[in-house]
Amino acid sequence: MQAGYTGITILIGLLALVYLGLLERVLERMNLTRKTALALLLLALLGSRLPTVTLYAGLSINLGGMLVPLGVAVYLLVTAGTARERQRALLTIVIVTVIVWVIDRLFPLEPGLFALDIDPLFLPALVAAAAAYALGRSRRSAFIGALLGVLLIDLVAWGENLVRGFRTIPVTLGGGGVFGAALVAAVLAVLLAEAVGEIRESLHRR
Amino acid sequence: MDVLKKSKNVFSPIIILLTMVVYFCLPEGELLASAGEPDQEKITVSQAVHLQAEIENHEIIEELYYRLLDEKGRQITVTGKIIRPGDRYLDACNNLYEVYRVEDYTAYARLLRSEAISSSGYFLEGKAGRKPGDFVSGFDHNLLLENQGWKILLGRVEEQSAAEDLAAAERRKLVAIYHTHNAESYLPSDGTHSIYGQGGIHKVGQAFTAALEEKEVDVIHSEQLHLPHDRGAYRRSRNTVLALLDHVPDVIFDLHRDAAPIEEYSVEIEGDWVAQVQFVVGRQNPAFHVTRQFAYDLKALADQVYPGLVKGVFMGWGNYNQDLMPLKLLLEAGGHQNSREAAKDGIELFSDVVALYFYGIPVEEGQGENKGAIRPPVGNIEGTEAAAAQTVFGLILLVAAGTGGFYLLNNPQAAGRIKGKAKENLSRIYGHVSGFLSRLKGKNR
Repeated sequence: MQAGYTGITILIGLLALVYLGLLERVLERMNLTRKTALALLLLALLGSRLPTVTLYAGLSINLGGMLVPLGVAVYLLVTAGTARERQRALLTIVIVTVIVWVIDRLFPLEPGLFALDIDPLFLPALVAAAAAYALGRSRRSAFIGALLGVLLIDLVAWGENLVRGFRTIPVTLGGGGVFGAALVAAVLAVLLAEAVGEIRESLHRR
Repeated sequence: MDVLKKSKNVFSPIIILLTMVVYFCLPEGELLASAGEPDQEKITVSQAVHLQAEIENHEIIEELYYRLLDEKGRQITVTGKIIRPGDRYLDACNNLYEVYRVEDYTAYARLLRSEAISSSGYFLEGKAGRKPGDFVSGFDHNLLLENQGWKILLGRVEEQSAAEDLAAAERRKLVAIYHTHNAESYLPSDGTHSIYGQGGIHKVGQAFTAALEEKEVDVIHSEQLHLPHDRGAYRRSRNTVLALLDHVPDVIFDLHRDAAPIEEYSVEIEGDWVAQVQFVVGRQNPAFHVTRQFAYDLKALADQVYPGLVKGVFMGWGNYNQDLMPLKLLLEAGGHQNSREAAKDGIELFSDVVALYFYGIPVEEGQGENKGAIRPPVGNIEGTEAAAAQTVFGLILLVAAGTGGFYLLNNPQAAGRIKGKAKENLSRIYGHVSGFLSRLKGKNR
């Protein structure tokens, strides 16, 4: 970028910083200590800079963008207090995958058909937050549902390419690393669920 | 202990900041290389599969487009993009409309104002006391250097040292191009409006690249596929944008074509019929104002160089990954009924505008009637920079308000404490002021 783009450069840096700050807070809310949350954020950021690992027929994974958040999601599932909580989280994943996939495939390419028909980047977060909150007011489920939902939809896209006979069209799970669609969805889903939860609880206290 | 706790709170943002620095300074991994020339199988037109476009497949076949009408029922534009209330449209004449009602395929918009974008910005008139016509018609190296450093020329060309000249001349020029919707094609030339694989839009991207490279502008043209051709392509193409960003381009273009009747995007420029270019700016983007200002600035310059080439600026209900980079535009290079050749011709003319805007590369001699007047390099990004500064300020306020609001929600008793303290301080100030006033009154008596 040209020298002299000071405002634009500061803006890009600030947006990234705000997002990373939110990501750290979200990780903390996932029953992780501050140190662990920071360590995971570091791992995810640095892992994003490692080469992607090719698995099979165009499918590859981004180490920072997929393995670290996936590890967090699995940890949350395993340490869930009850079997019912685990079921709710799994159900959230299914709901996100199905709803977002259906909208991706059957709706027009650009959003805007109705009020909540938002950009495909933000849609999984909205669906995950709504599903997780409706099923059990769970921030954990929102995180798990959004993250794994987006990864599963990418996997379905890869499968569709294979079925059509295209074996080298690249699909990277967790591509884009910490700024990629899967983690953005997870962060926004938790923040949405959190905001709704806090406001409701605050109103209830009054 | 308290100090220790506080220092820990400060520690966390510092770590994030340092990590970000490391992140942005690390050498490129394989992820980055994948943005260049991916090793993909060649997909031929014979494998073409008809798919949905902006509007759905049957809608394209039945020619059901969205029509935007003004309050008097006059047609403003026709597009395959879904139009919804709140969307805005800046037409070719810089009239800004806002959509207030949508019924089926008809959207109604009211005229908000006529944007005065043409008169501001590029030419140094007013700021430097020079008019476009004052510029020499040949290539002015000093002016080029001046503007590559994004400086305003003040009356005369200041002397620069040889080292500065060299550094400015060697400053790299880098534009990035990619296609979120790889399948988009042109019916008259490609035989279909959609090809599962590299559609006709890729060839238009190649023409755009070649035209810029001819002007010695480096281009990364990512032909990465984001198939299937559905809405999720925007999530998948985010990876491509992030990979392109690692090369720190000056601008990123996501090249598309619209779904619209042929006449909507056809314009005669200098005796040739070409396909117009339309800018799309997403409203669900925290840096919306910056991207919009950039689009306005670029259109203003295009209006001077090739009047009518830029059809308008559509401000729609989306993000289009513009949150990653404010200087990132979605371009519609014609509609599906235009020929690919017309789209190529249009985008080649647009490359002149891009080269002039960013690098001050003059438009070639003999092209057009008024080109002598707009040959000098420009590249004034002051408007966009001002919008960026405003957005930074707004963002800081938003974060502060959000943090404060969240704290108060979680600590209801804190709100009472703050209220009490505020009352206490206010009454103390009031006491001081009233005491001072009464003393003043006593003295006067």
